[in-house]
Amino acid sequence: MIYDEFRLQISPDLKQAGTWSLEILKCPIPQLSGPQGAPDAPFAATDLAILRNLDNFRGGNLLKLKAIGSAAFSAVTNNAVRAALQASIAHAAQQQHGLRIVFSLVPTEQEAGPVRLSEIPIEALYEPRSNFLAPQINTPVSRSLQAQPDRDALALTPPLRVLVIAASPTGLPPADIAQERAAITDALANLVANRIVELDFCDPPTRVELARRLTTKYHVVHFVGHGGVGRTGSDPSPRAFVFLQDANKKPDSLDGESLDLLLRNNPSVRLVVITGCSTARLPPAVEGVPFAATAYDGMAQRLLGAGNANVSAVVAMQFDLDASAASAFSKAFYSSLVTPGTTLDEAVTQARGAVMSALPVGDPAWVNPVLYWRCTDGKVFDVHPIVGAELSPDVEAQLALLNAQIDVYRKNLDQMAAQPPDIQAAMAGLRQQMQSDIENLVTQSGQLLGHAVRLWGGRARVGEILRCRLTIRLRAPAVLQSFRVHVVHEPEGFDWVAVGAGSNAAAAPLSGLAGNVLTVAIDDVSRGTRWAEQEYEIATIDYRVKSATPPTRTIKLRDLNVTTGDPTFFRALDAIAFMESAPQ
Amino acid sequence: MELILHFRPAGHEYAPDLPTPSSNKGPLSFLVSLMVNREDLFDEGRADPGTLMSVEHDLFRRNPESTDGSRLWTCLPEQIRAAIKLRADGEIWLKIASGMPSVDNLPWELAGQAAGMELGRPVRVSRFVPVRLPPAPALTATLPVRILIVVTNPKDERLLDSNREVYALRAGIDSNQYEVQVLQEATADSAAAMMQSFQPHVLHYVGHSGANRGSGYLVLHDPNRGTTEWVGADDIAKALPVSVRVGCLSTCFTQQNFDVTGLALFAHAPATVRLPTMVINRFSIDEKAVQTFWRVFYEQMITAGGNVAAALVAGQQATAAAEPNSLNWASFSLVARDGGDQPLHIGQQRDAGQFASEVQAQFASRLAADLADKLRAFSPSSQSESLTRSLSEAQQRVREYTKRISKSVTE
Repeated sequence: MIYDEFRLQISPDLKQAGTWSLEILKCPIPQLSGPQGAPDAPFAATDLAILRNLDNFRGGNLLKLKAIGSAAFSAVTNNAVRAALQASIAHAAQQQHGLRIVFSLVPTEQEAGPVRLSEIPIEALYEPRSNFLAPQINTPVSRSLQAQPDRDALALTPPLRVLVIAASPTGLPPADIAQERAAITDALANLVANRIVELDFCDPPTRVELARRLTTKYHVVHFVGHGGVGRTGSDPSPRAFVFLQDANKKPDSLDGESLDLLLRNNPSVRLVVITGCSTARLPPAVEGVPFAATAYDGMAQRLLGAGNANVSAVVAMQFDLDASAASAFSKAFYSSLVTPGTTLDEAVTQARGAVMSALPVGDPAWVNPVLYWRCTDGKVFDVHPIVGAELSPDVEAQLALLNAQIDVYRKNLDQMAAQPPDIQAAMAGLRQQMQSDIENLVTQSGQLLGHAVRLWGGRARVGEILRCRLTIRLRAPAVLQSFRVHVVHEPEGFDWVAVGAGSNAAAAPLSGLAGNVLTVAIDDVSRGTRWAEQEYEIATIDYRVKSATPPTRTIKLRDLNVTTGDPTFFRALDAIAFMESAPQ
Repeated sequence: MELILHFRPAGHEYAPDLPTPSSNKGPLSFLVSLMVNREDLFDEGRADPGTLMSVEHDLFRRNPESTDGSRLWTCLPEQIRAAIKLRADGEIWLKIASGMPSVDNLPWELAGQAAGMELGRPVRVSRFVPVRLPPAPALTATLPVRILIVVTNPKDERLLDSNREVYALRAGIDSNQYEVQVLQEATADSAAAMMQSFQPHVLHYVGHSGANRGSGYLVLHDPNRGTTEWVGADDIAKALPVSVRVGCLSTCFTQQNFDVTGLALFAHAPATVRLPTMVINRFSIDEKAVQTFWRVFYEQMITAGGNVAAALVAGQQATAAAEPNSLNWASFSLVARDGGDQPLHIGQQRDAGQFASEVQAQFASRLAADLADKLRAFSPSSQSESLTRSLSEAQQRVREYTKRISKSVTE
C-alpha cells in the first residue's frame, strides 16, 4: 500500500516545565503542520495498571479496551491534532493511500504526568468515528525516537537471514519456546525452501553462542522468551533485559546496553524483534524513588538510541504477552515482512490483525507489539523480486519434502553416531548408503532450482582434508561475468586450509578469510565466452576436519552474487559434510 | 491367538450416575475395535464410558481390586466380547493399544483374568505401542546376557533402602546366564556413560517415578546437588545404545513411590520415542513379589530364548502362586514397543557378519519408520514421489539385512 505520513512529535514544553507539547511535523495537508499546544489530559496510572493485568481481559472486555484507547488518545492529542488527523485520513483515502501515523517521542528524565510518555499505550488509540486505528491496514501506528526518519532500507538479495534466540531457562515460568519456534519455522517454511529466507536458531541460547553467531551476517535477530526490567547481577541500576541461558541452563540476563554493544559490532543486523514479556517496559521506580533514566533505557529504545549506527527498527512488547498471541504475531509478521513492497509498519499491522483474529474480541494482545523505527520509505529491507526467483507451488512443495527427508536422514545419522564404537564400526555400510542418499537428495533439490551454485560436501575423517567443490550449473547458456560468495563454516568442525582453481577455471579465485567467513571472488568467470547449459567447477575449497561430532555439518553459501549479461537469479545449495573419527 | 484391542476417542458422553465433570462435557468415551492376528478388523463398538471413568476414579484412592477386572471386561462392547469368545479355542493374548493415558493406565491385566474365568481359557494381557512399520528382527545376544541395574535415591525424595532393593532383585538373577552391573545414585550422564561402555541388553531401573502433563519421568540424581532430577523418555531414549532391547522399570518397595503411574506413562511414550519393549510396575507391590517375579522372569527369558511375553506370564504366574491372596502379579505389565514380544534372540554364538546385519537392520528400520511418519505428515501427492521412493528403499534395506541374518544363522 502507498502511505502518506502523519508525524506527530510529543516533546517537553520548554516554556512550562512538567507539561507536553504537540507538533505536527509532517502531514499530507501541509498547512495543518506546526505546533498544536498541549495534550488534553494525562494518562492515568490506573488505566495502565488495568491494561497490564491480563486477568482484566480474560475472555475479552471491549468496553474497557475502548475506554483505555480513548484515554490514550486524549493523552497524546488535543482537538486540533484530532481534527488534523481526521482530515489527513480522509485526504489519504481520497488518493487511495493509507495514512502512516508516527509518534515521534522526545522523552526527558523528569517526565510530565503520572505515566511515562513511552508507557502510554499509543497502539490502543480509539475514537468512535475511526474505531481502533493501529490494527487497520490503512492507519498503521508506530513510534520513533527521531524527528525525521534517517535510515535507508537495506537493499537485500535474498535470502533474508534471521537468527532466532529462544530461551526458557530453568527457574522461570516455562515459556512456550517450542510453539514459538514451530510457528516461526512453519511461517517461513516455503520461504526457506525458496531461499528467500534463511532461518537459524541460536542453540544453545547462551551469550557465548550469540556472540559467535553474530560474527556471521544476519539481518534480523529475534528473541523469544522472558524479558523484564530490574537489577541484573550485582549492579544496582535497574534496566531492561532479556533472559538467555548460561551453560547450566540457568537464567543469564542480557541487558539492552550489552545487546547494543554486541550489535554495534555486527552491522548487518537491521531489525530486532523481541517477543518476550515486558521487553519494552521501562525501569520502574526503585524503593519509592523514581529511577532517573531516559526512555532509551528500555530495551527497545536503547537499541535505537543515539549512537547506534546499525539497527533501524525494533519490534518489542510493552506488557506480558500470551504464548498463542506471540505465535500468531510471528507467523503473520514474517510472512508480510518478506513480501516485496510491504512496509515494516504494514507488516506489524498485519500481525496485529492476526493476533486480533486469534483471540476473543476485546482482548488487548494486539495492542502489545510496539514498533520503534527510523527507516525512510517505510522499509527496513528492500526485498526485490528477482527475475527467475519465483518457484511454482509444486516446486516449492517438492523442495520442502526433500529438505524434510534430508533432516530425517541427518537425525538418524546423529543417532547412529551416538552408538558405542564397535556398533558404529558394524554400521559402516548402512552409514555410507545413507550419506549417499543425502547427497542424492541435495542433487535432486539442485535440479529443481534452475540456475544454481552448489558447494559439494564430502566425507573425511578427523585430521584429514575435506575438499569441497564449488560449481555453477546453468540451465541456459550464459556469459558469466563476476562471481562473489561468502562461504561460512563452523569453526568447531573445520579449519580452512586453501582455495584452489576448479577444473573449469583458469586460475584460483581471489579469497580472504575473516573469522569463519571465506570470501571467494572470481572475475570474468567464463572469460567472455558463452558457456553451454551444464555444470562447471569453478573452485575448490579445502578444510581440515577437527571434530566428528556431530557427524554431519553444513557449510553455507551466503551473499551469492553472480552477474551475467542478463538479469539472472542464481540459487545457492549448501554443502553437507560427513565426518568420522580418526582410526584408533 | 493374538487379538489387538484398539481404543480411540469417540467424544464426550453424558453419564447420569457420575458426578458432572468440571468441563461439563461428560466422560470421554472410546470406540474399540478388534484386530485378529494383525489382519482381520472386526467392527467397532463403544466402550461404556461411565465404567471406565469410575474405575479410573477409584484408582486415585486405592490399589486395583479384582472387581475392577470384571468391570473393565464388561465395559467392552458386547460384540467385541462375543468376537473374542468365538476365538477362545486356545490361549488368547489380548493386546491393548490406545495411546491415551486414561485407557493405558487401567489394570487391563485384571480384565484378562476376569475374561479367562468367563471363557474358561487363559487370557493374557499386554500393552502395545504400535510402530508404523514392522520392527527389525531381534538382536542376537550371546550368554551371558548383560543387565544394567540403575538405582536412584535422591536425598530430597523419600529415601529407599537401596541395598535391600537391589538385593531383592539381584539375588534371583543367575550369574551363569547374566552379567550384572549396578549403578547406584545414577545421574543422566553417569547412566549414559555406563550404557555406552557396558552395552547392556537389559536396562533395569529401580526407584521413584513422576508424572507431569501426561508424561512419565524417572527420578535420577542432579549431578551437582544429589537431589531429584526428573528425566523423560525422550532423553533416556537418546542415550540408549542399540544393544538395549528390554527396559524394566521397577517401583521401589522400601518406600512409597512418589508417583508410580509415572512408570506406565514413561513406558507408553509415543512411538516416535525410541524406547525398547518394557516390563513395568503399574502399582505398588511388596518385597516378596519383587523377588519372585524377577527371579522367574529372568530365568524364563533365557529359557524362552528372549521372548519377554513368555517370561512375563511365567513371572506373573509364579507371583500369583507365591501370594495367592494378592493382586501383586497384575502390577507387572508388558508394554511391547520396538522389538515386540521378542526383542532379543538369545543364542549360543554370533559372528561379526550377523552382528553387522542385525544392527544395520535396526537402524534401517528406524529410518524407514521416520520416513513413514514424514510421509504421513505430508499428504500423498505427486510431490511426495521422492519420499515414497526413499521409504521404499529403506524398507528394502531392512528386508536385505534380515535376509542376510537368516542366511548367516542357517550357515
